[in-house]
Amino acid sequence: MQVYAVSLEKGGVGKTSIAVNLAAAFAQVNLRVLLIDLDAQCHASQWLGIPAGSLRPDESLLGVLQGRPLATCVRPTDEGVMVLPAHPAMAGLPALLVSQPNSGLFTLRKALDQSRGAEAPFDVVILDLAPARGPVQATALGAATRCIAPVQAEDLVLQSLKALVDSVEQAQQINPQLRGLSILRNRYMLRGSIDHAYDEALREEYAAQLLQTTVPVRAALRHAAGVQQSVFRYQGGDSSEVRSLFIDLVEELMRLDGVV
Amino acid sequence: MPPSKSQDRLADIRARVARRAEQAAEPPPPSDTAPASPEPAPASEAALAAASAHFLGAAEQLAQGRAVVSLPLRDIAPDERPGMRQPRLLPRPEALIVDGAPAPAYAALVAELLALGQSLKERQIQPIIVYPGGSEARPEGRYHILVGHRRWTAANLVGLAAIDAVVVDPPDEATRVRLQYTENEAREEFSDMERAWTLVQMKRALGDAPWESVEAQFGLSRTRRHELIRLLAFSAEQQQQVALLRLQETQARPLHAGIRNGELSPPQVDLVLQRLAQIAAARAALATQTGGAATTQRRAGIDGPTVARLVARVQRTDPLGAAPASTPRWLPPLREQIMRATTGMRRAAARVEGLNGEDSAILLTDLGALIEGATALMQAMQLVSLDAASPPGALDELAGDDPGDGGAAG
Repeated sequence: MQVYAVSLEKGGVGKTSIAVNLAAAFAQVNLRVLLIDLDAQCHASQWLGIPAGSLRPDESLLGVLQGRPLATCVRPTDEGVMVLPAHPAMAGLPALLVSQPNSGLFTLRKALDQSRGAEAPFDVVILDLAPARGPVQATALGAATRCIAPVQAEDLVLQSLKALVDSVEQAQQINPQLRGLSILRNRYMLRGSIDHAYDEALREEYAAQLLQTTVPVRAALRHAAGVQQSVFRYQGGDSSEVRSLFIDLVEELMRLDGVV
Repeated sequence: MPPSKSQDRLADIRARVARRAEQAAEPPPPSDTAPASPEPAPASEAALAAASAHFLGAAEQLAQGRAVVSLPLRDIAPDERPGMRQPRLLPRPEALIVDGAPAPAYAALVAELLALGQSLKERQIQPIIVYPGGSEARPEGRYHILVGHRRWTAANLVGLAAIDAVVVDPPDEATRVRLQYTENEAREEFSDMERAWTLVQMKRALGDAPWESVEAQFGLSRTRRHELIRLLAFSAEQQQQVALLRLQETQARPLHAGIRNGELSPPQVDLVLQRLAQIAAARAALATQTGGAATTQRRAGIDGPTVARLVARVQRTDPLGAAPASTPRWLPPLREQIMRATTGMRRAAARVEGLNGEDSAILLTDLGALIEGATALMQAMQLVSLDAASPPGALDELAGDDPGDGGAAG
């Protein structure tokens, strides 16, 4: 089981967009995919067709923390992926995790391990995170096999990236399954010389972690997001090009992780 | 229609995935040497501690592994023992609401707390952190608040019966000050006056340690610490006012500089603070009416120039406020001139050899005039100080204190 944590402490870099489209892309190649929405803002859940306010708190990860088996909380979506949706009450998740043994560092990993023997085992789990350091990020990196950071060529993003490198290194000390960090250039567009300077800094400093696949700015991605669909469901414009990019990404990740 | 290139590729990947699934379904080849799925080695204590320190905030680290419990509000109270009081401006709930209405001085604060209370009614996101202990002032309190005074106060104001809390061991004084500072530092409504109080508390908690150690505790620069400490020039009541207005040190600078230079008397400072409070109240009222965000928690309505303008006005129009005890305006510049002249004369003493006769004569005349001026000033001062030190009847009173005469008078 591959567990991808899509994370960066900076907001607005496209974590949810990558999480949803990557999950749909893995489903396209017939892998069994679970997306876990760990952000109390519930954006990924809404994107996958679960309206805000339509579920009880214990139908989210909060239920799993109370002892409900993961398999009973997940639900199918039109994108062909299963989802463990988020609930606004997950704003209290950090405090709840902190009260768990080891501050909840292994809480998510245990829940995922237990799900293996259940009826709906998964090949790929994607964790969509809120832009924050804290107990939720810690439990996600405690369970992940790889962390994916969507980035743009911007100063604040690069600063956040530095912080994430630290966090992944810390998490590797307690989670030997975490292979490392992969940086995904997302909504990537170099306009001025300053963008090129940041791009160069990124390529020099993070050469080993940089994914080959780059997701440029594309109207299809924005339009698909606007109608809350993945690019694989959305039909229109240049969506076939973007679909192909996400399949590239799936292939690259599978190669990196020795899946096929 | 022939399949497109991308469809070919998708089919290829799907086939590979299917092959992999078949392989996985086959029983693994027998192996004596390696277990099929090696359990990852448990993380070391040190790695766990490092991870906690990295991912968790100070308060979260303290609450680690402790259950969240729902405690009755009446079982909780702020710690009001000397030295244990939180260095923040947050009056008791009963001082905030008087006869069912917000106390006028705290109207804006009460509005904020009521909003916080409403959101707590809907959902409490973060438990407060408490430690066991009652107090003389509140014997019914079984727990003291370590972090979460505002939430506790807000819960009181909206009449909640219970609050989610984590109970921790009683902290030592320095830990308490550091934690409360860490929790408050990032908050917009934490003011420089409260920072200054924090510094004073930490200094005492560390056994009156030198300022350098206090700065190190909070990662503050020397300059910043100096700036914050200047706010202590205000009297205790004025400090409360400054905290309530959430004036930052730079904004309050014309005021505390005036106090420290002896250019403002306490009544003048009171006048300025009063006027600032009126401005803040008016802006808050306006914001409530228009529903806009005209005031932030920093009270954006009050800035440095406003304070400077009010200070200048009070100095111009309200000289009455200048109490007799305050330093007159002419004194500091005169003293500076005298000190400069004294230093100059000391230096010149080593260099007079080179002076020609004409220059020597001029200098001697100047010095004569200086001595004359100084003597006249000293005489005038002696007259005044004699008057001041011996008001009418003072000598008689002294005599009356003499035990020999006292007995006779009785």
